[in-house]
Amino acid sequence: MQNEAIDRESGIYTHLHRFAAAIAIGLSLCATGCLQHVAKQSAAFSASLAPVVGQSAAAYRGAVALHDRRTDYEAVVAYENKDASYNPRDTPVLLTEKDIQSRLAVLAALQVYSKSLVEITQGTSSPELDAASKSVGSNLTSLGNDLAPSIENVLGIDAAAKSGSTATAAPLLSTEVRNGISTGFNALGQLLVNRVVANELPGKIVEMDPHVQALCKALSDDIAILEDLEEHDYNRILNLEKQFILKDEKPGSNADPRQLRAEIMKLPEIARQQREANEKLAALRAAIANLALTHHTLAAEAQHNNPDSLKDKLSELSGAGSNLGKFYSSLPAD
Amino acid sequence: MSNLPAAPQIPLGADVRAAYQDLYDKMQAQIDRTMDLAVIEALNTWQPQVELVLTKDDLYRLSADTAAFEALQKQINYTNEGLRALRAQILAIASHFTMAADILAAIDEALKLLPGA
Repeated sequence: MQNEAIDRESGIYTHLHRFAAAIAIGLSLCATGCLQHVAKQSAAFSASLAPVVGQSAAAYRGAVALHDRRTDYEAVVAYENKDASYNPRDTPVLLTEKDIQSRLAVLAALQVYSKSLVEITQGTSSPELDAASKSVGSNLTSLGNDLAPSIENVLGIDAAAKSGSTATAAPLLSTEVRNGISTGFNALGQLLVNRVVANELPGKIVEMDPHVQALCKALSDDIAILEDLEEHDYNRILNLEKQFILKDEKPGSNADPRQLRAEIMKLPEIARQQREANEKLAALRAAIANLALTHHTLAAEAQHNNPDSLKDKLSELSGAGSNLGKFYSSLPAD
Repeated sequence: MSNLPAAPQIPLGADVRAAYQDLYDKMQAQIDRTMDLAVIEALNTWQPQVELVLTKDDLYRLSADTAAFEALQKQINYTNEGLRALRAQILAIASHFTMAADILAAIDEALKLLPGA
């Protein structure tokens, strides 16, 4: 049942929207009783969570759209070469919807986790927040168990293995990494479901650190691969665009001069998109690295069990979690 | 004694990957610096195949399964065959290439390190 829910295209969104709504309700209920600074942090979280996920989705879909655009260019080459083996139905998809949802779930989990830690230390959990955490935790656990799409199918290795095919699919997550993520999901999920009490927290933070590091590394490696693929995709699009333009400029081609100018003007625009996409992915990777580092520092503080410095580090971690969202914005789709 | 080339080391060694990456970059630099259609068509045909060697090596590193192994092996053979043809093509119209020597050297290095079939 849960797996079916996760398979739904909007499953994670629905879930996260529900979670954000629950946070908002919780906030309104405790507005008079809760400490003001906690309410402020939670409000910032509830406001930032949904857009972050939306923007992250846009970033991943942007990469998919770029790769699709490259395959469109490859189709022209195939037809110009009269390549009978070309079949548009065989073109691989860079990331399936399920792949995207898995990545969004990792990001959302890290954010929920970093914010939940703050809530637990302040002892301000409301029934709604508790219910929402359990819901997030359960879904994470089942998603972790379900996060094992056949890499061969996702990558379309068979199709790409065909000599001469230049349409590639993204190297995604290895079995080892998938298992690491699955374990991390389970650990995060259980922590959220069980809602540990404040005095257990230092130990739990230390326990969670390897999982957080593994999740951040998986995300970071994944983004590094996407950066490489995007660079190759943009190079290929620019190179083919240049070839098509030069062909159209040849005497006797009778190309419409206005259409030709429009094609030429696409080149700098594509190069600008490439630059922007590079900057965004690099910034995102930096944000994830910062989150991992902040958690690691927090875990070190937790071992010393100094309540004051622990609170400071928790606050930093919460900030690092929020910052993830700032770097997720839509990559150019075309 | 067999004259058959040795089977390539898979996954590719760091030096081999670097050689293919260098070749990819040199091809890109040449494409960026020319308005000669013949040069662009020649490089546009084989640069993506060089890219696929690197990509399929990544795939093999990630999945380490038989399908990925065979895909990479097949790709190496196909790409290297093409690189030999490209080499001859460059020599035939070398005056069109501003970076002919660089690209030829990069092709030779890749073929030396990973001869393929």
